[in-house]
Amino acid sequence: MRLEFTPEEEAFRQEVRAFVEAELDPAIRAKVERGLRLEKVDYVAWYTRLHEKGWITPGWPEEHGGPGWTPIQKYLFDEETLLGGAPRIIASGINMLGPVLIAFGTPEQKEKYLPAIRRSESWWAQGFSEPGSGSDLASMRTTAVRDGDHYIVNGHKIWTSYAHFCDKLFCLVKTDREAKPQEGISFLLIDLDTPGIEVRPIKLYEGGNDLNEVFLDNVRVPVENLIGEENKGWTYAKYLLGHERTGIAGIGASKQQLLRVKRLLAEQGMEGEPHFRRRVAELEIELLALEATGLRILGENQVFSAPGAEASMLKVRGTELRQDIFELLYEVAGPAAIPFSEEAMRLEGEDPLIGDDERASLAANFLDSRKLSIYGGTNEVQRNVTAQMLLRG
Amino acid sequence: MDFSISEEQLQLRDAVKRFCDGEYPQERRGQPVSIDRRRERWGMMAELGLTGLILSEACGGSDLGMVEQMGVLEELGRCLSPEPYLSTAVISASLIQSMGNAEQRERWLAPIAAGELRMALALDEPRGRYAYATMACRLTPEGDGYRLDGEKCLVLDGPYADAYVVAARHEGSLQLLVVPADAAGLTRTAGTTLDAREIATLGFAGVLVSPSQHLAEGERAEQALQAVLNRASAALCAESVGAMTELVEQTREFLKVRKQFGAPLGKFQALQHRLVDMVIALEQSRSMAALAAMAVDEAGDRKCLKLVSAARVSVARAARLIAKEAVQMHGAMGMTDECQVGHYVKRLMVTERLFGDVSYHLESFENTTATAA
Repeated sequence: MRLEFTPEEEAFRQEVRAFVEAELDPAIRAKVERGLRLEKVDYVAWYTRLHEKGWITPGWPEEHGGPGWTPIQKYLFDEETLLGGAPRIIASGINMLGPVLIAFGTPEQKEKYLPAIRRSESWWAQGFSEPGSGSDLASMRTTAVRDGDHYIVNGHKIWTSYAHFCDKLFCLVKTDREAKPQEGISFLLIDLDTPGIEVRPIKLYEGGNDLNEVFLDNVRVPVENLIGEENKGWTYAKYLLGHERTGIAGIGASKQQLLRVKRLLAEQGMEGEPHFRRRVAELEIELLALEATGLRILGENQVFSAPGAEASMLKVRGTELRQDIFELLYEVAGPAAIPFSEEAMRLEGEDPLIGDDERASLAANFLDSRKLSIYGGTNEVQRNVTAQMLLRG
Repeated sequence: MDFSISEEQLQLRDAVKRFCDGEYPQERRGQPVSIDRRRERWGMMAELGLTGLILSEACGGSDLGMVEQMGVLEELGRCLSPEPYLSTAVISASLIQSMGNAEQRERWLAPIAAGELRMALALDEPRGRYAYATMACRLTPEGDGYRLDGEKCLVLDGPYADAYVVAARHEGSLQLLVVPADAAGLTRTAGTTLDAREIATLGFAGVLVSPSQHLAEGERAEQALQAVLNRASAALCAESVGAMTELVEQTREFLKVRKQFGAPLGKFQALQHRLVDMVIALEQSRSMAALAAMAVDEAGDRKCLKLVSAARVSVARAARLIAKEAVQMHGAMGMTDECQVGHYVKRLMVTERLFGDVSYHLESFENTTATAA
């Protein structure tokens, strides 16, 4: 065991930090640090910098353009980029579809899709949830029926994050309605400009519209867009969700928001106020415990009570901690959280009454943070999965 | 940062686990044991090299660190060992090793490594609430030494200790002294803790302390005291992790075998989710105990205090959650003296209050972070 990172790891951290400072547009950093809305161009600008540096796909193997980092390097990269105010990697092609294509795609599919994902030319949306199938994903009803060298897809997907940024959709479809729920599912790649598709944004309670509905009406999809084997899609989806969860502890993001708490307290002359001082200390300790656990998972000869459920546990604890921090931010705002305007959520458009008071975005940030325990498999589903590991046999 | 456990560390843990499984059978844990039997066990622990684990090879020790000792303490906590390991092999051993002169090390440490000597720390006082900066025990110059007057309480493992490390003040300056149990003017009153371990109240009435009994004074003593309190806290975290591991394990087993409404309790989602939260709390505690141990071995004073205090807060809160849930899920059975759960709960409750409680460590964490900024 060793408390400090190695000199090589520290040097790598400094390299990432310097890169973020030099390459991240200050206007984008300001938006991220203040919890304001980002446009697609903001994300693309940052992802392009990362791509040019060869850092856009840390989770991919080297032969497909990954940087060949150790798990500790990936961890430090996540932390430093988020602490430095860089946008998160929201592009599902990078974190979700990429690993699936690499593991299960044909050489032609890899050649066709992976380079475009790395260059941010192609943005993928995730078509999993449906109005009747949330946590119970296997009950989904969108169908794909074979017709010559095409599938005809009909159905209705929902909670599709950032579909309005995307040109492509990876989608779970029912190809065998007679089979058991998890056995008749296939994994299809669909161009969003195919006739019969409509993307409709969903207005959220804090004013955001990151989520969408996708309607599929007799959409013709070439059979070469099938991933792996027909009716094996559930296997690929589980593989994908495993990848999605690994970075989901969100340690860098939590650190960044705790710094924001301290900054806002200091700006209001409230840093010594005992109630807030104690809450900050408690959350810093919680964060330390989460971080230590995330790093312990990477160590050798570790004992875990629920082997295989480590990612679920990190997701649960990481998201609930981040929600606690956003809730504290909302407390820090006090009465300044009462006024709200859509304009104030964007740096360009200032509301005349709110001006540049950052505190006016904290209520919306708090409301938005409730998604953390819902997406990526609800925290209830994560606890179910962990309990199954603990109580089987 | 690297949490990897080496093969040597793994082997040490396995050896301690075998010793514990043999010496502390499940059904006997938390039950009284004769003092003769316990002296015998202490000798066995010395033979395994456990009592001198952190002592130098010159004193018959193994020259290992807190990280290695953490594995030992975790196993001892897992089986509710009542031996004076923390008092003797962690606290007294490290204080005398770091502060003592050659003669003192020779006199006290070799017998500790050999399992022939048991020691305890006399620090808390009746009026203080972890108020170590303002102790009432006082020293008065006498000859080339001092006379010691005052009272120490909550001396863990005090009733059977052969000698004590005593903290007292002379004109505000902290002094750390070694006082043998048979010193003239020293009286001890034995008592028991909530978890049925032994504590003593020590009365000092003009106890003469010669220069050869002085370990450290002034600023050097303050630093040594803080360092050993950090070490004790890291040790308490490791012990608690052991106890929590067993409590979670027993609850998990109970949920599998206990049937109500025609199904094992483990089939009920309300209980499943609470079990998962116990496991998350346990795993975070295991991480924090390791972090605290690494901090004791490697970090400078301030960083060590910060990380150790964080670990104490984190582990204490996890322990409380796990204790309450273990009782609740065992139902009324969990509240009986016959059930193991209660013994573990009480051990955790005592551990939480030794050398600072949650409030004390939160305050200390706040102070280290506030001044570092």
